[in-house]
Amino acid sequence: MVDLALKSLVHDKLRFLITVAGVAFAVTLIFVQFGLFFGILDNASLIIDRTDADVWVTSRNTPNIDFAQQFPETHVNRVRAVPGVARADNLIVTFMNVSLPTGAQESTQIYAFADYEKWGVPWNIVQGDLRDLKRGPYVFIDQSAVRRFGEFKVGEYREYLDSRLRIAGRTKDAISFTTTPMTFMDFRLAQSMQPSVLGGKTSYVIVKLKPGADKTAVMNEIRHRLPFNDVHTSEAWAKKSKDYWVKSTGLGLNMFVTIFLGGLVGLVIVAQTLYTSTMEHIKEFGTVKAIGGSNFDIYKILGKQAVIAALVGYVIGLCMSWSVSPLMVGLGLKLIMPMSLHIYMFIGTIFLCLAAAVISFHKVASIDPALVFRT
Amino acid sequence: MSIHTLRAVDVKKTFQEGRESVEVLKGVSLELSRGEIVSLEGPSGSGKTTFLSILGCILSPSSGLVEVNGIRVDNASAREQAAVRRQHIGFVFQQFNLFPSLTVHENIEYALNIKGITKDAKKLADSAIDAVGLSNRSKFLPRDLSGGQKQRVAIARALASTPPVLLADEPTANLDSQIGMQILELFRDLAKKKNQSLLIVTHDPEVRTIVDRVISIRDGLINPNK
Repeated sequence: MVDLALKSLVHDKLRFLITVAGVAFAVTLIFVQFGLFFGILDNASLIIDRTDADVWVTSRNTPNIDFAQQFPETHVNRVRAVPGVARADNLIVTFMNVSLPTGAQESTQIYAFADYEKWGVPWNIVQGDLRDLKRGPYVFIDQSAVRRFGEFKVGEYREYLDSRLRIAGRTKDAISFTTTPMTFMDFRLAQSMQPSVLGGKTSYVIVKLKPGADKTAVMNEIRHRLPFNDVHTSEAWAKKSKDYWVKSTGLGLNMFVTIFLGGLVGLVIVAQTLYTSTMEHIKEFGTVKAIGGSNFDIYKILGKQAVIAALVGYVIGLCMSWSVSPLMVGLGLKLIMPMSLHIYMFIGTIFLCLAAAVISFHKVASIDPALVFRT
Repeated sequence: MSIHTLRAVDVKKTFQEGRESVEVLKGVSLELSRGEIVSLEGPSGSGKTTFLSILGCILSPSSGLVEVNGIRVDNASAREQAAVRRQHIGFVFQQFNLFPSLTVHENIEYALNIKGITKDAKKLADSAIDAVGLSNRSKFLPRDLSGGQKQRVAIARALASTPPVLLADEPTANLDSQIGMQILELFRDLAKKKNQSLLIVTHDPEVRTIVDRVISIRDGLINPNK
């Protein structure tokens, strides 16, 4: 069988290139936009996802992990007493000012666990021994802070509020949604630095259940014992934290608009090039009809051309998106492109190109085969 | 069963141009027997291409009877017309109408594919190319062929599936007269060999020297004086 669709598409190389470029740029735009969105959202729940906890107890109506409110630290004891709880600990999340050697002030987000070793946070230690945090006024700073704090070394001191704290270690990949650099310190040290706000208080109680424990039953019991707190599963708490940023900041709307426009641009480019190509080849399609071909024969040609453009454009767009990833990392941004995104994008690209071909279908349906006799 | 491969009786065709009706064919009749070669002559605007389009199942007549290879087509639907074109008619066009992205061989093979022939398409295309003397050009694209060669490819394409009816619209109009006549003689010989009927629409008086019969059309009517 002679493949007129493929031959015709490749024959007009420039037009094919324009069509594929249109698809590829649309795919890249949408991939990168989604990737950045997922990357930013990943930061919104990074600590939740990385903490080895099943349940989080928060103060009432806390909208996300960053905007923590305090409640009595003794609540942890009520949680520990609930059947099915393997362990529970306090966690303070707060913001503090840091004085830099330059004299400037910067803000940092403090994560103060009562016991770091049990909870798996921080997970990527570049330098230092996490046990040092228990031994004195020490902190671990994530190396992403270099952007805001300037270069820092283990063994140096930084002034947090009015206290000189020694940098005991560096972590990696601990980035908050707000981009405020993260500092890890001991729970008691955090309390002692802001006694009026944090004295005897905690921001969260993190809970690990015993194997086989009924999560719902345990959560209900915690709710019963702590009626003025909220109790979430880790997954629900991560989702709530993400949803807050998506819904309250316009991030979701911005994302939707960009993706819609990206898709629309791709659709218009492909539709326009396919339509122009159809108009230029109208006499050929008339010939197909004159020698006995049906509209369906021509639809097959146009449909196949759209799918080929979609496939090639998708692959090029995917490669371009991957190649952008290191650039994004260099800018301190994360590009997360899960496999499900690849699959949805693939289906979406095919659909988009076929939709673009529909306009040409309409034109082809009205071709008068008698045009083959016109000069 | 009709002995005529092509039969038209009192065919009329009226086109609507704005508010006016233009009667292009005013009652034209024609019969073509198997293996017969006929030219249809007439000046521009006489209605000969319209008549050819009706005989080729591309247009429907406003009234009258049309049969192609015994099949009545004057009231046929677009789908039925396409089926008749596929099975019973081969076209040769003034502008050749080859597919520019396909080689000579592929042009012919693709036309056979459209007609539902896939298994023997390569073999049939080979023998059609051979018949028009273009074996050494079978992998060429149309842009690399001369006008005469292009028309040979168009003839090979029309002949390849051996349809009983061949219709040619001004096949020599874009060729110089010597090449044009050579090609027409080739076309006639090949059609005769397979006992195919050939109707050539032309305004080239030279064509009448190679046909069995000449029909003249003027102002939408067959001219009985010619």
